[in-house]
Amino acid sequence: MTQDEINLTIAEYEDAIDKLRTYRAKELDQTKIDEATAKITALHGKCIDAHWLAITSRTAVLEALTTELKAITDKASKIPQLSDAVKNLRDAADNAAKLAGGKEIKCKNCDAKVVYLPNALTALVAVGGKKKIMLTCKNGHTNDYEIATN
Amino acid sequence: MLKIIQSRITRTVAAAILVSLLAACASIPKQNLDSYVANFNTAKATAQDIYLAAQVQAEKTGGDSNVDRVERGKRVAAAQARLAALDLIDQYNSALVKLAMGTDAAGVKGNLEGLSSGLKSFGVERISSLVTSAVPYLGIISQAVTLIDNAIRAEHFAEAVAAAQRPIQEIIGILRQDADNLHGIQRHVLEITFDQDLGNLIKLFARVRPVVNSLKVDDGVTAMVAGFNTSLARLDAKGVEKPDPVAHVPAPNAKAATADDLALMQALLNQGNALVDSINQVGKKIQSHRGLIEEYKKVLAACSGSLEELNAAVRDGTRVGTLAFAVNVMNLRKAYIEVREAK
Repeated sequence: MTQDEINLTIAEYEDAIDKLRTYRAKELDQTKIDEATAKITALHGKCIDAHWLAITSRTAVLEALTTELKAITDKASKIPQLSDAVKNLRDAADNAAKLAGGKEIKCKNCDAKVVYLPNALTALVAVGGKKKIMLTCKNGHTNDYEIATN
Repeated sequence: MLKIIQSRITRTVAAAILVSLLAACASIPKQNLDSYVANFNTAKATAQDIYLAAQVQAEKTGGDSNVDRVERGKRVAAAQARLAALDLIDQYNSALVKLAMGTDAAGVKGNLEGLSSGLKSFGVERISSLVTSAVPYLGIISQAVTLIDNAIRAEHFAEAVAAAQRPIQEIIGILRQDADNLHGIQRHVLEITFDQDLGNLIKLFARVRPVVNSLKVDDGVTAMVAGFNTSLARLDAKGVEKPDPVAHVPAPNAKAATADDLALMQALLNQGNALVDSINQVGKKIQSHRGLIEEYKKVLAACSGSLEELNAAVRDGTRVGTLAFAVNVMNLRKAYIEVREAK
């Protein structure tokens, strides 16, 4: 059933309802009034069905549009938060430190690995056989780390 | 020494030019975005109420036959699909808002300074010299990084707005088409009660007329007749032909009204008043639902219009400098990499 046909059906029902209401208002026989009321109730039911049919007939199109929009939303949501340039610089620093004999330690705030150089720790204060160093991971988390000296 | 100073001046000027170019090209029409999101949020709140009510209505309709169950399932699924579409547009809007939020230059500068001190702590001569030479430019670099970041976001923002134009406009179009049908459903559901009450009122008046005409004229009966006609006058049913007023025409064998006759008429009058109240109340509900749907359609239209305006603003904002801006971003990135690798 097309939208036009659905609209036509609803219009026909509306017309029939108007006629029946007028008829009922002039008719004072109780049996006929009851019959007219029952007819109107049935016509209301058919109109409700026609309106629902109009709505449900659009659902498939709506779902296809929703799928399309989801792909667009997913793409738009995957834009990195931190500038690529800053991340690139940080990666470069980590790579350079690795080449120079650096070691990795896990960031306290995220899964990123932070690279440090053991031979650069000589200038730092030893506390109970460990040395403290402040490191920043590529996601920008800065923390104190205790590094074993041996 | 002179060469170093010249080189620094050149780099500073070049960076400043790039910063100004990027500032001119990368923009997100924040005001249009705010307007669109606000319109959508208003439409969403109303739409959710309307579709949830429709879903409840759908769950109540039909019997236990397989056909009824299948039809009921389709109706509930249709309402849920609309609610899911609204949620998805909301998520899309959140992505747009996230893209519109630029990186803070001060934050980037702090980040670069942290990186700088981190590199120094490695104690590697080659890297330290790079850091030392970069320190004077951290301010301008951070601005450039911020602008690149914002420009990248603006580019993605423009892409996202353009790509979502058609699906969102079509979804809004479906919601607008649904609106009249949703009102139709609600109206007919309410009119079942309306018409049943109206039928009962007409039957009641049909019963009142012979009772009244079987009585002789006296003050008590006249007051009751006036009461019935006042009740009928209160009936606010547009488009519905009202029953004729009660005319007291005593029958030839009319008798004097007793207390029981007056009590019966009072009981009928009370029923009549209750039916008129109920009919009027349902009539008001139908009218207010119609009003709600009209406003809802206006908000949907506003939402559609503001999305178009957002798209137009994005197009106008990026038309002039899109290509130049993209080239500049690429060049600046290359420059960063080259500086990093050359040292």
